[in-house]
Amino acid sequence: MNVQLNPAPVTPVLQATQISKLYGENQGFHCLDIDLYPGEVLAVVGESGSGKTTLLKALSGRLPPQTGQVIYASDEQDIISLYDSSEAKLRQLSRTEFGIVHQHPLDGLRPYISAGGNIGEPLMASGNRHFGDIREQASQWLNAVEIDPCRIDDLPIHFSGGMQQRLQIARNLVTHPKVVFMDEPTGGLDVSVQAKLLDLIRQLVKRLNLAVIIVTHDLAVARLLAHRIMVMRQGQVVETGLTDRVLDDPQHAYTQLLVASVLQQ
Amino acid sequence: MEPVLIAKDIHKTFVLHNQGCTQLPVLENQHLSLHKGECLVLHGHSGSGKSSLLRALYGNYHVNQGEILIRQQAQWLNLVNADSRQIIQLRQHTLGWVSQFLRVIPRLSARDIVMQPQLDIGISPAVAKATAERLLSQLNVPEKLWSLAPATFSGGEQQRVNIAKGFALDYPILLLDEPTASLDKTNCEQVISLIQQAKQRGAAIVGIFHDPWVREQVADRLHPMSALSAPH
Amino acid sequence: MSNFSACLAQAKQPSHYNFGYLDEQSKRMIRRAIIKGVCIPGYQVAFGGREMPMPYGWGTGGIMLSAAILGQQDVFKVIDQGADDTTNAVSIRAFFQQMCQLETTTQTAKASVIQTRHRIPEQPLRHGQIMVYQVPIPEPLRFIEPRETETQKMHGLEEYGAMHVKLYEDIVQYGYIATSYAYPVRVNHRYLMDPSPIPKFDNPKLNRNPALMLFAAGREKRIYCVPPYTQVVSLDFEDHPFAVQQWSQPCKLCGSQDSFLDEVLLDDQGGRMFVCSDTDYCQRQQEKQHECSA
Repeated sequence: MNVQLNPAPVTPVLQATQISKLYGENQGFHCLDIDLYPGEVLAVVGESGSGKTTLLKALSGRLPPQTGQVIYASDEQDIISLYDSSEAKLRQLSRTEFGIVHQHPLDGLRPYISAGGNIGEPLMASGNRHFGDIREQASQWLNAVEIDPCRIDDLPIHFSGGMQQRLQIARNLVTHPKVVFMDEPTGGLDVSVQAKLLDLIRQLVKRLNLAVIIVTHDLAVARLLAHRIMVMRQGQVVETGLTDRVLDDPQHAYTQLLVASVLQQ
Repeated sequence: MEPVLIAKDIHKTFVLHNQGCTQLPVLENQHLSLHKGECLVLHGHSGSGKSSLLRALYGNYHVNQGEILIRQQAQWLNLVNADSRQIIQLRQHTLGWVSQFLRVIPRLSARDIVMQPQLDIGISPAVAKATAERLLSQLNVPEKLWSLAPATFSGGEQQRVNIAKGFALDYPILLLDEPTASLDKTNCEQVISLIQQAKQRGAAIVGIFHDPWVREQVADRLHPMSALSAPH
Repeated sequence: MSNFSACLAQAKQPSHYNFGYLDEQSKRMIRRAIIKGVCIPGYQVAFGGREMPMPYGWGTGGIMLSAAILGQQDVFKVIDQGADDTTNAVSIRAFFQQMCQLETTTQTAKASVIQTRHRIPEQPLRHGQIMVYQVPIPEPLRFIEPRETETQKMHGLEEYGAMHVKLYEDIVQYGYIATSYAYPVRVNHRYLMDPSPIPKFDNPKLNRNPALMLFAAGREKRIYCVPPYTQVVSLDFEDHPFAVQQWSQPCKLCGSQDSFLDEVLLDDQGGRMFVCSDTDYCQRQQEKQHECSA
């Protein structure tokens, strides 16, 4: 019988090889390889201090690793090594091709600029100079993240936490990024708001064929959103694979502990 | 005729690292092959590893040894060493799974849940909706529930939503983990008829059915299993 | 008041002060900053500010700059919001009169150096003239980005999208771009620049102006320049183009219809009139009318 493997459907949009960033012993992460494909959600889970957030920064071009490289391929013709690029190129990438969703929405928003202005800023930064068009797009995105477009001129500080987080997501997606980095996006939200946000993220990922890396310590979030999961401990990946495989049949002692610690519903 | 699924020499042992590294062997020397249009029933007492084997066939459980080969169109994929993306693709197109337990994002409506696997592979929303509603009504999920999220449904209703989801696509291979458990007779019959229909269109099915009555109706072959003793 | 300034004007330059108050090394340092600024139009050059005999906010930046460039042959004019006769203008003029023993004027045409607070004279400037602007906050991006490290990076990488956010917010709030002074401009297709709090009415005058424009912020210790004939474009949106203020009536005193007007309250009953903010220009216009009628 002729056994052959299916060819991979596409090339990875983001590829990190042997990247390390260590602040001290067990601080940061060590020798990681990551491939991320379009339309794929990768969850990074692990205890606090296991290097998850540092890793997210390194992958998104905000923190040069000490070793290894991060390659971004917007398509097969355009392949960029992040840390071999100029700062101008990196910042341009992070404005247009990358989305960065912070745990605290106000870290990623301008609190005293209207919701529409917050969504419109990336457009203006990419050269859009048509007020009507910017406003129209802002309004569509508010709709897409389930915020009533009549609140387009309200300030984010007058929004609830869940709305702020959705506004932050809209601001990130308006330039149609290919990769979105999320750091505990549901962290500060109450459970009912979390569910709504998770569903929204899931739909957007599908509709826009986004590649997403989501850092979370909530295994339920990982299970609902992520295709793949990476379990980190003390800067190392202890286990990685299909989300349901890792969570239902954990192999590593730490993963078993993590899974066993979740309260059963 | 060539089989569509072959499992060779499957071994699996659970190692509980946090409980003194206890070793629990569950599968040993498991072989099976499955052909189009047949229903193979995993048969054995509770604790004989039926569920573990079924989960291994879905790629949900890791196996320590052996090969699980699944035919996807003209190619074979070995689940044991396939990468995640290949397994996800396989599950989208080839490998269907129905269990008793519904695990979805809380806010989705019952109809959306059943539509989802169809939408994922590019079936139009109109067609997906029609299929979803046909299945939901066949499984006696009241129409007034279709647009509600199943979190508040009774256990049986949730289970039937899940079954509808599993049968919404014509998967070439279906894995059924006690789909009829705790269903009443009318609904059991509906599930049996769905299984018969799937067999007729050529689906290959591996299932676990506790109810002898259901088992007799759907099984073409039995795969006997027995519990392993822990090594001393 | 007039006695005081007359006293100042008649006083001899005290022998223990250098020409122009500042020592020559400080002047050189400032001139080097100016040359750098002229070479990179719109770029904010840091310079080492000196303590001046007046508080920050009173035009110390402009005064240091004037002190560094004034020579014995210069004719000096100072305006404050267009007026030659307000306290600030009078005091600064008197200061340099005393420190440099140079000729001063109120006539735009006669002046070789004009120090200004927040206006550009109505009378078109000519090549060879130098404008010195007093600047409170030199960084146009400060409104949206409080970090200096970040604004420098934004300038370096030409990331100016955020500036349009302010204009966007204006339209949202007022229906039009309501920013009416310190209206941001782009210099020579490159640097984003705060033209100091001049009314946006004066922005078009910056574009390809034959005079040399020098801007100085004393507190923030920044100098930036627009060399003669440099392109200066005011930011706007395609569907909300840049426009200057307009008035429904002409100047009450000189009848001018194309100058920047100040609103003057006349009484407690709401009586008001509009007069030219540029006092020298208004006077010239009135003289012209007298000549015509005579």
